[in-house]
Amino acid sequence: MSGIGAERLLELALGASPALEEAELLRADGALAGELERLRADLALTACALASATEPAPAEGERLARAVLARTTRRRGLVLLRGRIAERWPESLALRVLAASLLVHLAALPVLGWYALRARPEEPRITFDLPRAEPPAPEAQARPPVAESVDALAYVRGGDLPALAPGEAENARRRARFLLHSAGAPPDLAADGADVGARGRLVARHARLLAGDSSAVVAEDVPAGDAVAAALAVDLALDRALLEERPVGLDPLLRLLDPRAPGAAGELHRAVARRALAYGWVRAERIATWGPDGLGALDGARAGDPLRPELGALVRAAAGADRDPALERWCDWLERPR
Amino acid sequence: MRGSWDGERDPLAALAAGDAALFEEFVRAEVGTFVGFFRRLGAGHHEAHDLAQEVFLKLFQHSRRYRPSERFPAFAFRVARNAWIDRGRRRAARGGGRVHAAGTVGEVEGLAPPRDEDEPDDELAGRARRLVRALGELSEAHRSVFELAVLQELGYQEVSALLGIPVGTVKSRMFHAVRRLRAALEGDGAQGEPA
Repeated sequence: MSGIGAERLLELALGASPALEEAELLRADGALAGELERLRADLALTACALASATEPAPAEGERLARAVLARTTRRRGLVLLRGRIAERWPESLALRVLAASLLVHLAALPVLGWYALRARPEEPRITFDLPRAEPPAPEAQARPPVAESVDALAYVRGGDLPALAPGEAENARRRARFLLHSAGAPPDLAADGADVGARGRLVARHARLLAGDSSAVVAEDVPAGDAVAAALAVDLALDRALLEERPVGLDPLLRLLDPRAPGAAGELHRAVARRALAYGWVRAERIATWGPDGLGALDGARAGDPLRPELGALVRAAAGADRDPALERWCDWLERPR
Repeated sequence: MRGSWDGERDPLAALAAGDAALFEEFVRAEVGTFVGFFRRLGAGHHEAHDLAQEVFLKLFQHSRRYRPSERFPAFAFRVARNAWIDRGRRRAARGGGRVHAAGTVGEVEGLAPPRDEDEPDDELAGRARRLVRALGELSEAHRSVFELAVLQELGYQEVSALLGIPVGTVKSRMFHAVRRLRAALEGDGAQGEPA
């Protein structure tokens, strides 16, 4: 190859522009031009053969391209941030401190999570106050029932207990009834020579109430002139009426009541009368027979009783034409609808 | 490279200006180029894929501060060449390989396409196999020059700058590499001629 060296010829075959003299030589020397063309062909063939042997198939290349794009343009911000961090990492102390701090916090997360899971959350406690009845006084609970029952029986007999206040008398009576109901069968009272009449009636009452005797209490069974027996009979009738939830044949018995009666028997009558009034089972005509004195004795008649309007009318009728303004206002108050 | 990626079609310049479409086109068109580049340098199949991805990732990350100072293909192969050198260093650090310095013989692992002995040998495939074998027998220094100058069509000046060697050395290595490969081709022609 005269004129153009082998290395230069190779350079020309690879695409270098020939100098003017080289171009003249190639035009003049056909063999040289042919050698250049063969060299170009060999290089092209070599490149093609090597490329076909080493480059991936189109489908494989497409998969790889998708993977590259997924890591670059599809996540552009993240990739650029990572690149910037990687670039500044060696020279930025603050960045390294920040990364170390982040690492420490991440390492502490499992420990914090363990503590959070282990500590049970405190359950909310919702409280509210309920109204509670006061417990009974200790002395009331410890009181021996037998001695009390003796006192109560003595009182019911109509003995000398006038000094008792009305409230105390009522309490004594209620306690006596309770004890009679709860103490079981009474002893043979006749054996000790006591008042068999009053006690016998009490025993009979006790037996009738507890044994479920359904026979009615009637006024004819009450001994004439026995104020205590009359009051107890009415009281028993009230009990029966309460048990049966209806007042049957009560009015003839109520006729036996006399709130104006003196002494302990009178207290008993008034207590029974108040009880009957509280139940609403006393008719107005019956109350009218008791008169103003009897009504006055019934200081326990409470506001709100259904008989109050009738009481007002009765008071007006009893007072007649002598009603003063104060009495009028009192009657108005009784008759006012609630 | 298969496409023209210079001047107004510079993918990184477009990416820096906010247009990712040209970079995506570049990736789709040239992913095989870079895989082949690494395969011919001696990388295995999967390693060549990883290295190609690494090159594209580095190019993408570099786009933020990219200032065109040379032709884009030369820049791209500089990045690829650095990735190849880093790969050699990593393997050396792990004790699993050696650094391919200029003048040493690189390994071309399974480069040739598998041959089915029962099939008649296709002319191009057979020639490719012999060329690959001849390429593998070249030193990495010669192979790199040949690769960049012939297959990637870079000029001698660009190859010189990229490899950090004088232009005369590029010419000399190129000459020897082509002579060896042509010899392989001529032997191929002699073998291929009918008896």
